[in-house]
Amino acid sequence: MTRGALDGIRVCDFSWVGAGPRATKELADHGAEVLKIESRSRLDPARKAPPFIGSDGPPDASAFFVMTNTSKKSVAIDLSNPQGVAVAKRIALNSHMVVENFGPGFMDRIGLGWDVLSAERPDLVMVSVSIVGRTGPLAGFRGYGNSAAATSGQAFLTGFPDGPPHLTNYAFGDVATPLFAAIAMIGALERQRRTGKGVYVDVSQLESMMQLLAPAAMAEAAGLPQRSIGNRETWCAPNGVFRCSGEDDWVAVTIATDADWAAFCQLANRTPENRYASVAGRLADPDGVERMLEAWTEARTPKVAADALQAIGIAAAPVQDGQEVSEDPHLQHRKIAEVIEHPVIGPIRHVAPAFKLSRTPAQVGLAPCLGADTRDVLRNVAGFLEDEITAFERAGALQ
Amino acid sequence: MSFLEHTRVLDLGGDWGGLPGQILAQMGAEVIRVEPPGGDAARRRAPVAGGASLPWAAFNMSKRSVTADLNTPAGRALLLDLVAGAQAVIESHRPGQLEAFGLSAEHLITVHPGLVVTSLTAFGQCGPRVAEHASDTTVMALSGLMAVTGFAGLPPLRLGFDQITSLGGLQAALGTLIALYARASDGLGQHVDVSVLDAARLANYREPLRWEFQRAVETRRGNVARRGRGGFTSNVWRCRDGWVTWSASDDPKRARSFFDAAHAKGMALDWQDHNFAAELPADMDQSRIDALEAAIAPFFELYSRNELEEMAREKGWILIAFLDMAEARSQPQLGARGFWTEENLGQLRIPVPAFPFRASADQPRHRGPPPEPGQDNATIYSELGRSPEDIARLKAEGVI
Repeated sequence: MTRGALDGIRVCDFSWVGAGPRATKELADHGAEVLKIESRSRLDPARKAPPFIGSDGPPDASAFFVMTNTSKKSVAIDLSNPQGVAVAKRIALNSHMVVENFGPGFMDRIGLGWDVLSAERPDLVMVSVSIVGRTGPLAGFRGYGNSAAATSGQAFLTGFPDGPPHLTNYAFGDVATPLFAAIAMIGALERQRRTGKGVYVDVSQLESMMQLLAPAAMAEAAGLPQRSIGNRETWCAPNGVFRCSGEDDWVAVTIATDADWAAFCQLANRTPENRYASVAGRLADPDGVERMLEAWTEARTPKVAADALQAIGIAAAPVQDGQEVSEDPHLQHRKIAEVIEHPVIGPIRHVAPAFKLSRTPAQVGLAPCLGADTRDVLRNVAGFLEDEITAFERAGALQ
Repeated sequence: MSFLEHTRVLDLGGDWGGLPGQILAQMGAEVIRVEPPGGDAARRRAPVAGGASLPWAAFNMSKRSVTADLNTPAGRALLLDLVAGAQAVIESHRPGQLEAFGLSAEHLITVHPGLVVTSLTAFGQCGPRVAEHASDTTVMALSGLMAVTGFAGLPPLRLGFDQITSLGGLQAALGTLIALYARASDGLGQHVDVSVLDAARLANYREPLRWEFQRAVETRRGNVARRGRGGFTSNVWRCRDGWVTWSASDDPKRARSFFDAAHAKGMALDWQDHNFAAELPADMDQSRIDALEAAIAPFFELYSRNELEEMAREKGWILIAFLDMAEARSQPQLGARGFWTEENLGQLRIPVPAFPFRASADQPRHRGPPPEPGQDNATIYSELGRSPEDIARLKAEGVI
């Protein structure tokens, strides 16, 4: 095995569902030893999420869980059992970093809060991920992934003019926030490596989404009211999706420049009109230029339309569905997933990181079955003896 | 002190790549934007207010700026000198473009083995689409996210404000940090190849899986979700002064509590005796869900968003109001955490994000307005040993 970029880092990971585990997955795929602390008595909802393979249900047959938990180790510990908490604490104090995304106050209530852990290990890094942050008037708010889409304004800005706000069937906060969290984690570990100092990091979904929406928030503050504008852009036209010849077939197109528009007019055999020659003219009548583009795309399949537009330098692509994404030759070429034999599921794609390191490439490993590494971690990380481990087992602390 | 003390990053991010450099700058790296003379084209992108491009400003704060015309040998020499003093370069040129200047990632790393070069592009450095043209909208289309975003009977819908591109930007920041961490142990850099499409595909955590394991393709369903074995439940409700999100889905106690409140208003009386512990709405067939939802819809319209949130806090319902951007940015939660800080942009003074995340020490933070093009030419180029005369000549020749 070649060296991983984060070899030698150990993470005690209490996080579950999506927003925490997606962050620690990034570290695990790059060589960090991520110890997922989880329990049969309070199963990670991701282990209960479909699709399941074969007739087995939870905990080990969820393909959904596999995607988010590659390369990790699983340690079964019941945190409602005081001995379980003591075991978890020993593992946490033998780690460089602790991660959690439980409901407000949970870690403090079980005695594994930042104050307790940092008092015993001052160089510890601890990262919390939550919907609105761990302080402030809403700190006690309980929500789910899309709550942040509602309260950040994102859902309001996603839609067609005068329509309702839109909550997408994927929670964007659950994919953007883990990236902020992972960035914070590496930054804090770098600081720990350099200075020997610990830090507590508090990552909020609301704030993460607001960072990405900063242009809209700043425009609003500058007196430009922000409303949903469908698929349009404020800086170019036409931009959006355009109907093609088949049933629910669409091509996405961005005509960014005046030269692009002139090239399209030539391709479509349209006499260039002066009023549309400049971006200002096209932005003044988006309906008009969109109709012209759609009149051309409607007679073509998405692929034929996209290829013809690409050939004259215009950004265009088919709107792909799940099957087309799964079979996309470019994504396959980039090895965005690796097939690994899973003991319960069988061969299954384990999704890789979205970037490639040339010298220390990610090595995507098996997503663990529940408790697969419990004994090993208690022995080798926490330093417990065999008969101590057996006693914890009998006391029900390791389930 | 800061998270990234003593780290110098060159930012050749063009109009796509502002975000990763900004985050590293907030964490304490010295990030130098390298622009063509006169500044990046992205500095003019709408919406513009008070003379400032807001998309540009939003993702280029806390940086310094130098100019260098990479089409000239003198400009390329300046860049090579800058590279010699940097730990990382973030660039978003089309694949092959830097190579044409003799500045490919491979070349730079060969000359400076400790250098991290991060390339942030739509499709990455290899693969059949590598030479294609792209926009935020077209990459979202390819990722499969767009096909399931929006409403039945309407076109696929995008997320605005380049949010898909930003996923790539976040991945670029993360990849750069991971490569810098690896470098700390052996002094060696590497090339980080970031693809916005890969990032968007990673974000699409449902649809490829749905195809691979269920041979099913999802379409646009608007504001509903399937949370159990039954049909789809609504998660967006119109109330007296706007919209709230709530779902009659998955918890018997919360469902009973909500229906009791509706019954108290004389609504949904057919459901008074329903045992939610025995049968959750999420497990009902669609026609019963539709009947149940029709019975409670008028309840929401009795109340304002604030009143509903107040009830939710009291009774433990998971309910939150939809805010428009004016409301979202001014909500007390953000203010209490110090999320905004005032900054001068053009003729405006407006709140901008103060930090990327909260930390108990060495808080990463906003470190100043976006730079003017080349504002740091004199300081930084003299550090590289260029005399005032050299700098004046480079300027006269249009190199900087």
